[in-house]
Formats: sequence, C-alpha cells, structure tokens
Amino acid sequence: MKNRKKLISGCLLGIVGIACLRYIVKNEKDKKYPVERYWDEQEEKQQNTSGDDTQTDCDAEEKDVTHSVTIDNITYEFVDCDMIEDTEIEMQTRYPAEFFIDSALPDANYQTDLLWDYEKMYEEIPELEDIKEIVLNPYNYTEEEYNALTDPYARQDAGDKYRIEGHPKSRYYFVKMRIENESVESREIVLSDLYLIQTNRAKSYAVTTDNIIYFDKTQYVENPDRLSWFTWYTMKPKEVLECVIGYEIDEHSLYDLHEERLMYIGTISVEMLDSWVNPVLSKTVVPLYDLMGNESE
Amino acid sequence: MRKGKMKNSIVTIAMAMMLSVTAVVGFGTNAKAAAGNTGNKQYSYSNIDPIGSCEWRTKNNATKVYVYPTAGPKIYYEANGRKKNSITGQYEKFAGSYSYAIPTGTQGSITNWINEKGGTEARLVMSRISYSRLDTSGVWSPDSTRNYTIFG
Repeated sequence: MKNRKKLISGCLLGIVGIACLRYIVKNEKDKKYPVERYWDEQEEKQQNTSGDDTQTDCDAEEKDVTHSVTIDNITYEFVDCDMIEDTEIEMQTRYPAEFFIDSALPDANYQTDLLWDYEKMYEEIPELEDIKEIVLNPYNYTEEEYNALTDPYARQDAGDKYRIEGHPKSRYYFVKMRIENESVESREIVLSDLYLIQTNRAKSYAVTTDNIIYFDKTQYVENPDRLSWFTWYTMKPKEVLECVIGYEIDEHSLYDLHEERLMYIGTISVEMLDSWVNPVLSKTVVPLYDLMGNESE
Repeated sequence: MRKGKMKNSIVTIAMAMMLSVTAVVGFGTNAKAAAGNTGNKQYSYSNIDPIGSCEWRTKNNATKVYVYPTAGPKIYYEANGRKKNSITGQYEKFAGSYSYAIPTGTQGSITNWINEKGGTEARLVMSRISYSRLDTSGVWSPDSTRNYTIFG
C-alpha cells in the first residue's frame, strides 16, 4: 500500500516536472530582446498591416500604392517630396534658415575627412573590380554569399590609407506630411523615428538616415532644448499637423555610383535594421519617389 | 619725442591686432563639418535579459554620447561603434567606450572613441546590474551639444 502510494506520487511529480520543463523551454525559444519586443509592439498597434512581414514588388504593383502609415493611432500621410542639391541649398528660399535645426542654412561646402579616394584605391588594387558589382548590390546576395565573395578582399582594407578630406556630395530631401492623432489622448511623437531610405528599383542596396535637420513646426525653439528635442512634438487629442521635415544624405560611399535613387520613408524595427534585409521591405515604409515627379535621376 | 614714440607703439599694436583678427577670420579656415546627430530617441531595456542594445544611429562628430535614463533600475551602458570596410562595404563593429553605470535621473555624457576610430554609427549596449522584471528606459543621442555628468 505504502509502496503504491509512493509510486503514484512519484509519477505525478514526474509529469508535473516534465510539463514545467517544456514550458520553460518554449519560453526561452520565444524570448526576444527588449528592443525587439518594443518595436514588435509598435508594429502590432499600427492599422496598416498586411499578412506578411514585408512587402514585395508584386504587392506594390497590384495594390494601390499608399503613402501613409498608421502606428499606434498616429497616421503619417506623406504628401510631397522635394530634393535640393547641396550646390543650391544656400541659395534656395523655399526652406527658411529659421526652421533648420541650428537656425542656419547648411554649409554648401562643409568638409569631412571621412571620404575615400576610390579612384586611387581601384588604381592601386585593380582586382577590386572583380567584386565591384557585388559591393554595389549587396542585397542581391544572402549575407553568407556576400561575405564569402568579399572576405578575401576585405583584408586589403588599409584603414585610413585611402581617406581624404573634402566635401561629400550631399542632397537635401524635404518631405511634406500630414500627421493626425486619432486618439482622444495627447500623444508625444518623435519624428526622427521616421527613416529616409534611398534605394533602386531592384532594391539591391540601401542608404538610410534618421538625422532630421529641418522641421517647420518644432515646439523647441531655443537652444539647448532645440538641438536635443527638435523632432519631438506633443499632439493634442485629434490634432492634425501639417509640416515639412528635412533630411540630408551624404554620398561618400561606393553607392555614389548608383545612378538610380528611389526614396522611401517610414519606421524600421531594430531587428530589421540589424538584419540583411533592405529596410524598404518593412511594412511600415512607403515610397516617396513617386511624389517627386521623377522616379529616378 | 616721447609722444612720437608712444604714438608709434599704439599704431604698431593696433596693426598687430588687426592682422591677428584677419588671420583668424579670413584665411585658411575650414568650412564647418556636418552637424552632430543630437536629436534624442527613446531606448528601452529589459532587466530580465543579461544584455541588450538599441538601433544604430549616425554619429557625425567626436562629441560624447548622451544618455538620460528616466525610468527603471540602474544599468550599465557602453557605446559601440561601427564603420564600413572601405573595400567591401561591410560593417565592422567595435567597442567605442568603457562600460558605465548611469543612475536613473542622471543625464550622462559618455566619453568615447567612435569617431576617432573612423566609426560613422553608434549604438548603446546595455547590461543589467541585477535581475529585475522592470524595464529601464530613457533617451539618448549619438552626438551632443554640451557635457552633463561625464563618464570616462
């Protein structure tokens, strides 16, 4: 009798133990980094969702192209995109100096020592021509394929040997948008959560920036708050904000050689930013290039 | 004679001052570099996990990384940098600072060497001091306009 009781107790304990172990293993598998959970929550809250995590070219062509994104009851509708070359930025009058982050027009000829002399590099290392097409179009390959093809050449990176000082070719993009707070509560938005992305029709490369240098409705007018909180905006319940934000994209990489520049805008999860995926495929990114009149240069 | 000498001295000094001003303002000055990426963005870290990080952001200059924890337990922060290999375009990550515990409510300025090592992007790598179910959150920026409480 006693032995039977011990046997039954032992079996019950064993079953409970196995159940607990399976629960723990499942939780470990499902665990995500905090920033991944944070952005997953942001993406789950948006109303413009699709069944897939990413868009495809077919999807964009078959469905009506949308220029709005809704995240957590805030709708961002992109109305227009205007590009100004660095050579014209100081002469233009459409975008007043007072709305740039440092209350001054950008320097059309600013210098940086982060440029690379590709002409000299390719002259001294002619075998780099073998991988030029690969380096220019990384998303045509998986990360493993890309690394396997380029690693033998990577060690030829001579660090600062080909660094030169000069002015990087820059373009300024001004995005006109309409933001609506659909909530009945005040909401604080951070416009620098919107990334500007440059890519091509094949989506084989991407240049991204979240550095907003122009905002014509900032609530932080005076320094030092202006420089830190420039793109933060507290929206009243049901408020509609029409505004213009501006970005600068420096071209001091091999991607300068791409003649096709298609612009997109939207939020990108930390997970996606860290992955080998073109960020324009994020479901919270929409095209801007078709708002510019010309689809490519 | 003495008056004449004094007048000559004054003229000499005035000319020297004018020349020095001209040297500072007029010749050989470099155009200013790109503006720092000083806009704050939010970060959040779960103290359930031993380590975590936020997104990479463009870092434009050699100023300190700004971190301002506003809620949750005190944790360690380290600034990481990354730069592109000039040949392959692949990113190479590196430790851009030492690790510092910054208390909640303290605006911190982390000394780093990201820009000096050619890094063009920065991110925070965070680690817990002790296990907790509470998240630590705040704001940060890769570049800064002034120094607060300096770490490093």
